[in-house]
Amino acid sequence: MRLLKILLIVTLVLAFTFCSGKRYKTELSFANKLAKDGLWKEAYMRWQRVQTAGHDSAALHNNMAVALEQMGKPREAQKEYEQALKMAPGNQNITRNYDRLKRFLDIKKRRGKYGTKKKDKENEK
Amino acid sequence: MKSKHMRIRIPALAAVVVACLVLSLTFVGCSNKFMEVRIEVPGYKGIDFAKYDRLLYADLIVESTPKGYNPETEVREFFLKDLPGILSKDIEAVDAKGKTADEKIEWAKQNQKDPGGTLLITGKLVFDVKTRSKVEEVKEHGKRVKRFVKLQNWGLVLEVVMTELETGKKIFEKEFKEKMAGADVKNPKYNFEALFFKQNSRLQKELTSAKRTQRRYLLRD
Repeated sequence: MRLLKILLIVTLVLAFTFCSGKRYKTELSFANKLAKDGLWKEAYMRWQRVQTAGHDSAALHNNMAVALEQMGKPREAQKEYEQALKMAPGNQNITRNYDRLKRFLDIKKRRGKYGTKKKDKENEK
Repeated sequence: MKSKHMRIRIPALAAVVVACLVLSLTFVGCSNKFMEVRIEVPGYKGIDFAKYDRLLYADLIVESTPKGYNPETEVREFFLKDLPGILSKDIEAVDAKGKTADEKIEWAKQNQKDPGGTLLITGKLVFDVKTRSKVEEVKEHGKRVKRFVKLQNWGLVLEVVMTELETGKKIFEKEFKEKMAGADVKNPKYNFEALFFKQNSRLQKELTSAKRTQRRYLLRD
């Protein structure tokens, strides 16, 4: 019986340590949740706080890039994606996000700024 | 003896099962490496027409009109009847014939009691119709004979400019080009409408485009 109790306690401790770990991971998760709920500015602030506290990671840069895109700052987002890819070059999710941003920037470059005179594509029947 | 062993075994088994369950749930929960979200990606921002009290339309300058055809009616109908419906805002016509685009803006500014909150729509419509002859076999009196047949290639450029009267700032300026090869020589109205309606759809999309959403992935450490 005593052995069983020890086993249960060890399991719970392991579970707690594995999941909660360091404080910044909780902050990161909470920020992710805020972003999912549409509170992008708040989420971005929390990610920035984590970064200022000295916990840098590819995930952090990626998530900040997504928030910057949502906030209409594609150039800053591009820098964050590039940083994230430097830290995690093979990460498929970061690459996917970055490719989509690049496609948007390419289209924007080709079409020019909104409101300036631009010849539209010719259609020939 | 047997029952004592059983009393120890069942709780032990239950504890092991619970432990495994807790560990596996923990592992699964924490190893979900990414989370899918949707973000708004700005497309071409539509103009906020609600902030303008009045929309004025000064007839487009029409150049190189094909012989025997005047598109004024169709063009006016679009800008004064169709476009207001799309923008949910009335558009008034102003008579500024014979004036250049810049002159129209100045003229409209001087002739409005209060130019504030007024948007002026001006622009240009340029035709480019090329006619050529081609030898083709045609049926005449039951016989197939070779005759010269006229063919036309139509090009149409629609330029639309929207200017804030008070500030003189151009908030929209775009050119739409359409071409049609092998157009019907005898039906200029049809040829014009075919091209003009395509340009109208594109103009509408530009003026009313909404934001798009795209998938992105948030990562967990």
